Amino acid sequence: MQPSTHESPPSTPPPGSERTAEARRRGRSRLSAIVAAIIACVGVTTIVGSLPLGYWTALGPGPGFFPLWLGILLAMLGVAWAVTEVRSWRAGVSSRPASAEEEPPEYSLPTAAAIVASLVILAACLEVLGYQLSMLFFLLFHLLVLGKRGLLLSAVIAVTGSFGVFMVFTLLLGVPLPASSIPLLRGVGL
Amino acid sequence: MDTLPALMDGFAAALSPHNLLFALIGCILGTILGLLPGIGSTAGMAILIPLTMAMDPAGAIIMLAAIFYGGAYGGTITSVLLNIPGEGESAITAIDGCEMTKRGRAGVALTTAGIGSFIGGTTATIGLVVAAEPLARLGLRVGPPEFFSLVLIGLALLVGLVGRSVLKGMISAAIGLLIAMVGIDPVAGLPRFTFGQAHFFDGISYIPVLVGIFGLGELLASAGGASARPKAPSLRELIPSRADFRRSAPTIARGTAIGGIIGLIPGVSSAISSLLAYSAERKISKHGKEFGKGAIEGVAAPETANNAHSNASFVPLFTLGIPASPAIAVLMGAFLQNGLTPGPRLFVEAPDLVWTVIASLFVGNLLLLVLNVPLVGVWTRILAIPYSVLRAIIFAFIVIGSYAVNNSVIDIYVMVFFGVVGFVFRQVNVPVAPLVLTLILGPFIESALRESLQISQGDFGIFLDRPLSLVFLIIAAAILLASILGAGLKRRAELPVDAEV
Repeated sequence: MQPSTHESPPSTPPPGSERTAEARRRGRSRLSAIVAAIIACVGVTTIVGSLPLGYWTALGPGPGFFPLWLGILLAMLGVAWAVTEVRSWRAGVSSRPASAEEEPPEYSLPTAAAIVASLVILAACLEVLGYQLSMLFFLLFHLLVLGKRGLLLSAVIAVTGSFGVFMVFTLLLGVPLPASSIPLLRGVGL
Repeated sequence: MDTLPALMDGFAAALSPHNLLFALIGCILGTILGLLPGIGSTAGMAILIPLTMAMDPAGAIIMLAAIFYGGAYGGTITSVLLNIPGEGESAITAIDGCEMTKRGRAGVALTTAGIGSFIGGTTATIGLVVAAEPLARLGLRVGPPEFFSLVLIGLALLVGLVGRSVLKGMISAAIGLLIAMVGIDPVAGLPRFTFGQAHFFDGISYIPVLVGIFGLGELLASAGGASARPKAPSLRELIPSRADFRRSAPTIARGTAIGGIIGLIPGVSSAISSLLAYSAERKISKHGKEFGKGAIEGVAAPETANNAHSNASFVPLFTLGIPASPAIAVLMGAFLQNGLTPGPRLFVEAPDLVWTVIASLFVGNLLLLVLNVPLVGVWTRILAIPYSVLRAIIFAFIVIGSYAVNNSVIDIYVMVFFGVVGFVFRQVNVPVAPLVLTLILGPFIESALRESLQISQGDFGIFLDRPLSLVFLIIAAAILLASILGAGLKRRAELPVDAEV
C-alpha cells in the first residue's frame, strides 16, 4: 500500500511569523474590547426598550419582565468582558496565552468585506432587477473577480445559477423568485 | 400505541420511495457540505433547511437527519485525509486518523469510522425506541418550573463545557434569548423589539439566523483559505484486516456505551463524548502507547461515540423538548418551522411522524454505511472543484434559501447581518453553540418562567418549593460554579474549544 500524499492544511502559519502573530493577537484583543462594549450597549438598549412594555400585569410577569432582566444580564456581562480585555490590553499582553488550536482560522478581510458587500448589493437589487439579472451579476463577480476563474466556466455557472435556477424554482418547485419591478425588464420575462 | 407495530409503521413510511429518495439526497448533500473546510453537520443542516421547506414534515425531517449524518461523515473524511476537522466532534479523530493516512491506511481508518458510526448510531437508536415513549409519559408530568430549571442545567453545561470562557458562553446564550424576544409577546400579545417593521411581528425566523451564523459566518472566517487536495484511497485499501477488526470491536462497544449515555444529558455536545471515549480508550487499551501514532482505536472510539451521542440526543428532544446540541437545535428549528413542537406531546399529537423519524434514523445510519464508505473516492474528487466555485454556488444557495422562508428580501439582510455577527464571534472566541440553543428554546424558556410565576402569583420561591425543580437548580448552579472555578483545569485537560461543537 502506498502512503497517500497530501498537502499540509492551509491553517499552518508560515514560520517566523511571531511578530505578525503578536500584532494579530493585539488586534483581536482590541476587537474583543469593542465587541464587549457593543454588547454592553445592546444590554442597556434592551433595558430602555423593555421599560415601556410593562414589567408586571394582573396576570403575572408582563411582556417587559424577561427583556428587562436579560438586558441587565447582558449589560453586566458586556461590561465585565470589556474590563478584562482593557485591563489585559493595558498590561501589554493578550487576555490569554493563545494556543495554536485557539487561534481562529486565517481570513482575508478584503475578501470577507467584498463578500458581505456583494450580498447586500444582491439583496438590494433582487426586487429591482429581478432574481435572474441580479444573480447573474453576483455569480460573475464571485467567479471572475474574486475567484479568478476562466470566462467560459464562469459564464456557464452564472447562467445556470441565475436563469436555470429561476426556471427550476418557479416551474418545478413552485417557489416564486422575485421578478424585476422595472416594467421594461418585466416585459421580457426578467 | 404499542412500540413495535408503531415502529413497523414508521419503517413502512421511512422506506417509501419518496422518503428514501429524500434520505439519499440528504446523505449526498450533507457529505458534500461536510467535506468543505469548517462546515460540519450543523452548518450543513442550517444551509440546506430552506430546501426542505416545500416538503411534507416527515420528508423534511428525514432529509435533514440524513444531512446531519452525511455532514458528520464528510467531516470525518477531511479529518482523516487532510487533518482538517469539519467540527469539534471529529477534531480528536484527526489525531490518529491523519497518522493512519500517512501510513497508507486512510481507507481502513474511514471504513472503521463508518462501521463504528453505524454500530454506535444504530444501538443508540434502539435505546431511543425502547425508552422514548415511557420517558415521554414521564416528561408530560414536568411542569413549567421543572422545565425551566432543567433547561438551566442544559445551558449551564453548554456554557461551562463549550469554549474556555464561561463569561463569553453566557453572553452568547443571552444574545440568543434576546433574538428570540423579537416579535409578538406570547402572553400579552404586544409587539416587542420589532423596529416598527411588520415583518418582525412573527419574530425573526430561525433559518436566516442559523444560515448566517453557521453558514455565512464560517465562510467569511475561512475567506482567505484555499482548500487542500486529498488523495482518495483505493477500494482495496478500504478493507480492514482481521487484526483491525479484533482491535476495534471492543473499542466500538465501549464508544457506543459512552456516547449513548453522555448523549442523554441535555447541553453536552458530542465533542465531549468523542473526547471521553478517546481518553478512556487510551487508558484501557493494550495499545495505549500507539495513540497519536495511528492507532485504529483512536479513530474507532471518537467516531463511534459521537454518532451514538447524536442518536441518543434525540431522547431528550422527544421526551422533554430540549435539544441537546446545536445540531439537534437546528433540527428542532425545522420541526417548529413545520408547525410541530418536539417534546412529550409529540408522541400523542403526531405519533406517526415521530415513529417515521425514528425509523429513518435506522435507515439513515445504514445509508451512510453502504453509500459513503465505498464511494469515498467520489467524495474526495469534490474537493478538486475550486473552492471559489463551490463558495459562489453556496452563496447563491443561501440567498435563495433565506429569501424563500417568507418571500422577503428582509430575511436576506437578516442572514447577512448574522453572518457578520458569526464571523466576529469567531474572531473574538465567543462560542456560537449557546446562542443557537437559546434562540430555539427562548420562547419556551420565557413561557415556562412566566407560567411558573403566574402559578405562584409572582413568588420566585416556586422554583425552590418544588423538590425536582430545586434539585435541577442546585445541579445547574453547581455546574456553573465548577466551570468558573475549573476554567484553568479545563484548559489543561485540553477540552475542545471549537465554537461549533
